[in-house]
Amino acid sequence: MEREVFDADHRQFREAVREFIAREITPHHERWEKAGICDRSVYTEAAKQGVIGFNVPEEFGGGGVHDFRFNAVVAEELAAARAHGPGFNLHNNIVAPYLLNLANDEQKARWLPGFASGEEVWAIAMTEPGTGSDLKGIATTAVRDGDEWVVNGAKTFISNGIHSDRVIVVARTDPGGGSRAFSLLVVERDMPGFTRGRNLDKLGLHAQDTAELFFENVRVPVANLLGKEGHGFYHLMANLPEERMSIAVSAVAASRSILDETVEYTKTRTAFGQPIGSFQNSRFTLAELDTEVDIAQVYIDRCLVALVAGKLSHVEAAKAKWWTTELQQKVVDRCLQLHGGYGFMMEYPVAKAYADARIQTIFGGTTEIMKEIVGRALGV
Amino acid sequence: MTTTVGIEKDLREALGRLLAERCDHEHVAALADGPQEWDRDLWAELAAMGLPGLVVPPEHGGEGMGFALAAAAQEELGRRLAPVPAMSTTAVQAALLASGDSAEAARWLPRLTSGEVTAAVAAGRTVDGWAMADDVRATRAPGGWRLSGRVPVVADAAAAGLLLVAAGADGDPALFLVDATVKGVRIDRLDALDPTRPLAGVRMDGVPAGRLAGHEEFTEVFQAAERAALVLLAADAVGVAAQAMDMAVEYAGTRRQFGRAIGSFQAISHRCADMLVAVESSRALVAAAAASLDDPSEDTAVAVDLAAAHALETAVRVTGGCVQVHGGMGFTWEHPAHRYLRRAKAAESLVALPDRLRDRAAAALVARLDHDNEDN
Repeated sequence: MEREVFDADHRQFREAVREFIAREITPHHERWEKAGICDRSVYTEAAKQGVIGFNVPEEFGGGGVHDFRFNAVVAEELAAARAHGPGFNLHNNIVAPYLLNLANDEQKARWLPGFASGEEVWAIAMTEPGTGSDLKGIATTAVRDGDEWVVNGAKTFISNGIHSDRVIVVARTDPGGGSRAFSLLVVERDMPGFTRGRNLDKLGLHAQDTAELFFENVRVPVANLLGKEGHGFYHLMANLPEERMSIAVSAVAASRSILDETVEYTKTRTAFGQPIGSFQNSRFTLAELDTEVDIAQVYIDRCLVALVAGKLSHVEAAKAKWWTTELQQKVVDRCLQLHGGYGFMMEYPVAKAYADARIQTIFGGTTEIMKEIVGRALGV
Repeated sequence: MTTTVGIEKDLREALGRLLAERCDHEHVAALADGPQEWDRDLWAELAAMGLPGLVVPPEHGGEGMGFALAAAAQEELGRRLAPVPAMSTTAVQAALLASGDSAEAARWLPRLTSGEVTAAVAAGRTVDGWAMADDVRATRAPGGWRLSGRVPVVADAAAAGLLLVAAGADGDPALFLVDATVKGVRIDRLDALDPTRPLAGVRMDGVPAGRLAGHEEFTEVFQAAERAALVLLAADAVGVAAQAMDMAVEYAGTRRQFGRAIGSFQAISHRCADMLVAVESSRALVAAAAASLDDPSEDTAVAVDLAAAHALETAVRVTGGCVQVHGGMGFTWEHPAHRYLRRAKAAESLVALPDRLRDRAAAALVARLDHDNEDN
């Protein structure tokens, strides 16, 4: 089904991104998967080509483009190529809005040039060993002492955890306080007391560095408070539609990509004297998946239009997130089955797609939390 | 063990022969679409075989064979959509046996066992199962109680000579036995989805009642009735599903399209294979639940709820699949497929919905877990 959400600029951009991925990412990806981390240089290369940083204003070295469809193009192309190593989506879709919306002029001048050029890698740290979906359980504290905040605590499952030069840390700045207890503080690489744990061993996404972070009496200058003190929770909420759409867009693109490859596989692989795709069971499975991925694409594209117009609600984004990522689970599972024993071999793309997909229904808000959001909005 | 298996086999075969002769599709269709509410003659023949007394001990005139055998028999009845009140009668028998009320048991069990009288449960219905009937009032009267009010939906009431009524007495729940043939009891037939297990509204106007269970025994006795009903309903559903599957498989082997039997297409053969897995697993769960009623343990309630949930859902899915496999033929009134689907669908919501049964089982398991943790 022809997609109506993009115009010529986006299509041209897609070609450039696809070419960049084929040249700068795909040839290295297997090495990065073995190393558990990508090369840092890919960030600066990507910035030069405008694959990241394009949504930063031109005065800070960015592309000055504020249109989430470009973000979507990058997310889709990365997903289609199964290029999960470089944290470009985190950079473009999650960190960028925090900096653009919350940083003051001094902070923008200090942070955005390095961010836009790809020389500085950022991360955002919310999850803790004891706190996942229920963010109000965050135990990392920041206590004001003169012109500094003294941060203590631990974060885990932090994407870009090893590469990151600056980390937006969600910390409790008011020991009581309910939802006004939290603030965002930018912790920097060389601050004493800030250490990283090991690069965590994961089921999938092997080329992406994911780590634990530890804060022991880290003194963060008040100039690194991002947004308003006590408003951390609201700042997190404000960016949720973009974050969830970023995941949903990837889910549909990854589903489409592995489905297309599987269709090709079932045309060439024969059993019982005929291509396996011609058996009713295979054909019906593929027909179902193709139909559902098309339907998902249409919903996502409508959401994209709404997001660009500033009209996408967090409820709609939650629907998009859970449904597309659950669909992705079904797609990778059925596609793997159609590959038979080869599907279990890591050298076949479907095996990696299967492992990499599994986190999608968990991070960025679990399926269950998404359904809570949708259900609550129904008034039940 | 061998003997039990042998007895079950003999019983199934004898019932199968009787039902094939006396309860074929034409017979069921004529009865279901006609004015009669149930098959009195068939019930008499089943009674001659001892069917209504399978769970009743010999001292009350029964066979004392337990629920294991009663469930096997009910499966055979389900297979033929037999329009007889075996499930409801057995539920009331279970209540009589659980109550320990020897006078009422002596009064009613022999007549229920001989087939002379059938019984029905008049309770309030919730999605979670049977409850007290809200609109019925019990008042004390010289020599007993009197009941007045209305129970909107009662299965097998039209056939019933005895009603087990769950109603409030002095603010507490209680169970009463009402002779349904006395003046003041009115049974109004309802137009229901499944004519082979007819539903009716019951009105009582100051009718005499014997109290079978008061406040203290209420839960235990009522649960005995509900569990018996669920197990037999589930066993019936296994029979309904098994027969629907057999019809689908037979049709798939004879109907030809695109130059070959439709059963050779994976879309059909896989569906039939799924049916078989579902039916077999339902049968095994129901057998385990029935055995657990005969030999109760702390697992009985969970076994009954989960078996019923699975078997009732399976019957709906398999009978729906049977319609689908038959294509346009399955959609006609003449073909019996719709009668199976309707028996399955009506049974699914007769006592408690499958998801609520699972909820109940899960709550029981979690409560036990909490209890174990406290002990440690």
